[in-house]
Amino acid sequence: MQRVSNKLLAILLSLMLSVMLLGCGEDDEEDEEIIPEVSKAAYIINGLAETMSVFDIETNEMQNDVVTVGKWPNDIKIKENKAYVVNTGDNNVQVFELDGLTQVGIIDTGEFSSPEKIAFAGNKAYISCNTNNTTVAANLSSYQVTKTIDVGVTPWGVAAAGDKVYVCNSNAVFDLDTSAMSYGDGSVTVIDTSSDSVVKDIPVGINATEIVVSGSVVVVQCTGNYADILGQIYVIDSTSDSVTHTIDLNTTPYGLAISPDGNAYVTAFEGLIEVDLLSGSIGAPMADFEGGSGLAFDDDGNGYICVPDWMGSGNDQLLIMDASGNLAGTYAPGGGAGYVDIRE
Amino acid sequence: MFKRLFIILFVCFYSFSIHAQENEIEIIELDDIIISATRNPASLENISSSSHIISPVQIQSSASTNLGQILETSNILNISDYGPGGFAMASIRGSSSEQVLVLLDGQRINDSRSGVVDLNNIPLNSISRIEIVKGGNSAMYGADAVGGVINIITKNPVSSKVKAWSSMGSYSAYNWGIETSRTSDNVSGLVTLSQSKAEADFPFRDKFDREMIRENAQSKIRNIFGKINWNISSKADLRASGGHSYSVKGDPGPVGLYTPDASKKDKVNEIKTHFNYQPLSFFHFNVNIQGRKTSLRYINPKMPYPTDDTHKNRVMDSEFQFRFLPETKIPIIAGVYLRDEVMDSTALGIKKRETYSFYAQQEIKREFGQNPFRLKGISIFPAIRWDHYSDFNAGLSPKIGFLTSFGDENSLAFRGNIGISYRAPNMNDLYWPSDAFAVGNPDLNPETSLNADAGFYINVSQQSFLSYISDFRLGSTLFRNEFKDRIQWTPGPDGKWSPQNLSEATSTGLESELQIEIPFKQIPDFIFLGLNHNLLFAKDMLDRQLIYRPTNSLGYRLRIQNRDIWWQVGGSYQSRRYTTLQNTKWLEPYIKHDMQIGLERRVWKNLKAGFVFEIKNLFDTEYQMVADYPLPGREWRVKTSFGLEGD
Repeated sequence: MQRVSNKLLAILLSLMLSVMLLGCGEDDEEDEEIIPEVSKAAYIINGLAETMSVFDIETNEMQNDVVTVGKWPNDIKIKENKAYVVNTGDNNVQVFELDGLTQVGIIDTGEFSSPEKIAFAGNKAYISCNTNNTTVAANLSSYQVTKTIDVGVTPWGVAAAGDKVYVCNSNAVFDLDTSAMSYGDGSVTVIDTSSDSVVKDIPVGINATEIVVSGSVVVVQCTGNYADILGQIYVIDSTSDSVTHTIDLNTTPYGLAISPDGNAYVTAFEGLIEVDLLSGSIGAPMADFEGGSGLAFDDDGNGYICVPDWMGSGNDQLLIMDASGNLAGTYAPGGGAGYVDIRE
Repeated sequence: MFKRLFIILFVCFYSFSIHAQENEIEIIELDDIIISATRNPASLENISSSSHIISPVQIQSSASTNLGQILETSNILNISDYGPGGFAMASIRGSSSEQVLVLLDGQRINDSRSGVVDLNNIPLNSISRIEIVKGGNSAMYGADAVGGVINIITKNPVSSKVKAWSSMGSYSAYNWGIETSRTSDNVSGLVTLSQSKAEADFPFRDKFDREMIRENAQSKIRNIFGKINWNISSKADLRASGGHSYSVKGDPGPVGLYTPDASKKDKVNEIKTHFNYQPLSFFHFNVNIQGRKTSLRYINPKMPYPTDDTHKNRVMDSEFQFRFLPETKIPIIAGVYLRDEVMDSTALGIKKRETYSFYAQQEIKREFGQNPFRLKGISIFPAIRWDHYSDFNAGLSPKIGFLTSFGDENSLAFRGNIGISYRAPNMNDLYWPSDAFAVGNPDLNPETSLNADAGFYINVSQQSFLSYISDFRLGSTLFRNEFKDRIQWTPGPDGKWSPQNLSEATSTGLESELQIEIPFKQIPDFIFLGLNHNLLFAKDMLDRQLIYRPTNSLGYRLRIQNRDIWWQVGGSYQSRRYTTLQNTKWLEPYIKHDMQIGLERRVWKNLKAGFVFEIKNLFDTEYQMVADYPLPGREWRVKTSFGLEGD
């Protein structure tokens, strides 16, 4: 009986130790990342997964989580053969070589900066930093910040037109008395890229967050206060740096992009809204593209719209809109797919 | 330098150990009696739940100053430690921190606003022992006992004595305290006072490999605790206790998003009475009444989100408990529990919650005489509880446990439990005021969980078994929890985030533990080796491992003691812990070791002196339990104590 007990104990003990040993080795296996080789692709930033997905436009193949990015990524822009990912939570911009998606540099925007968006002018990047109310200019060869420029309150979107950079100041501040965000009148700061100095402030509407350039027109999206004040588009003539007209969106917008035909497209909960910048008319929300966030267009006029699933349930979508405005495809990017840019 | 220090300490240890053999000092036996599993004192092998005890010996021989530190080194639970200045919260069997019920002498202390308890804010000076019952237990304790229950048992006055201690350590950490107790025939009392402070300005490497100093992680904590026991008669006794603690801490914030000016002020005042009366041999009743007031003020003056919030909570608990047939094989415990709670928060406003609960439990035990299977007994532990809350629906929580034991000195037990438990929606979930981004949901239901476990426990203490082992314990438990209606904040049609009962998850795992004691001369546990391992698959609906749940965790403790002097080394291993829902990012596995050397011996008549030298994180491992919250590297601490015992 004693011998049987000892055998039983030995077996149980061996089993326990085996489970321990096997378990402690499980992390040795590293997941191999397969970096897709693509020539024309959409690069998507997945905000929850904190990764990048690559959608091959020629083969319609999506490869998810091909590379991890930093904390709270909020923008991606492609310039030449590099992708620039703005990580708000890490106070930096990661620079990836597109072929192989290897990280080739980091632009450190400084502590307490919370970088949000990026734009390029010549060999410089301009990154809005919404915690310290600045925009930094960084050299794209050395990846060093060369100048910190004071702009307005809580800067957000940034865009370049010729030798000027336009920065949206959302004026969204946390009100200590009400323990809530308050949204004052927004503005657009104009920076001369030759001197990296502010040359003008242009008053715009409530909570200016997104900005894009179309030829000589600068398009500013004012989001409103997420409650009773709805979104507006402000159109600025970049030659005079003055507002030419405004367009009511009748909703709370999220993403903004310009199609090759010069129209603006705005994502919203109800769907994608086409905005004729010249006439100021807006189309009915296209319900096929509801719930969109970031979007981008390729040169053929196809739109790529990210629809993030912020619950993390895996229902994120990349919706493709053909040049006629029809839904051409639905693909599954990574978790929290929020922003996209196109490599042509 | 380190090597030299080690040699000096080794020499000290060796010389003291030779001297100590000549002294007759009492040996503190390992304590394996647990109350929390059945509400009755029972040994670990006579209950159906997988349970653990952090004994007075472990607490007294540690230089840790708070509950979070000592639980972290035990590896019984999964602790999420945000480091000095930050929170430490527990998770059991893949649960969230809100799904772990923390009790202080049997009364819940989970914060109703956040649902959790900051373990780093509970000083150890007034704690005698810590009991941990794993698995769902809402049938006994109500809300939040989903992953398990941590019951902190405070000290009792057991003798007349005065004890004072002080410690110092790395990063300007200081702690001092005094404890005095007095006993007489009918009345005994105890008072402890302690204060600790630390700068915690430790170096760390940030994600860009820059050497940084952790700033604003300092803390200052003071604590007073008192207890009076009055044996009114042979049939009645009254216990009253009260405590006050106050802490001021900095809040360093996560790496890269530092909050150098943020601070927290925490205040807890509580008073508790327990009256026990045994009018008849087959009937006892007791009454517990507790008042507890807490206040937390968090200040961060800096942008982008300046904050100055104060959350006050006032709780009144009353419990009437009846015990029928306590000395029989079918003891019954039934009770009524009433709780009145008022929260006054600058963030949430004034909110009230009333709770009414009824519970009943029984142990049905059948013992067998001599039989060919050496079957000793079978016990069944049914329990049920009905909870009514003024602001959400809870309902019934049933549970049944079983225990089959074989043998006497060498015993084998099979045990298991199945039950339903729930986690109450916290007040943040229910009442978050509507702002630009979020709004609470007053229609939330509790998270529920179907808990089941089964396992065995072997205890071999017969000398004929491996003569060089005095005690051998091996246990293993397979468990599965199915979580439903998990509360998840999600964006609504207006873009505002709001909590919903949406998601499901499961946790399946295997817990194993091994304890061996090897005697030497008259010391039965001259060498103690403890080993535990947890295998955990905590999965969401898409089969992804839940964040911050390691698949494998391993802990060990090796202790060598020679009457009044001991040396101990322990450590823990945690495998990869994912930090994103999608399992795309993770914290790297780590293994960390701690070492202690200590002694306590009589130096003159009734005067005892104690000394503990502790090195935490012996090999200076860089690790994090929560992403972007670095933890200190190697730390040392020295604790000295003097105690004067009366007759």
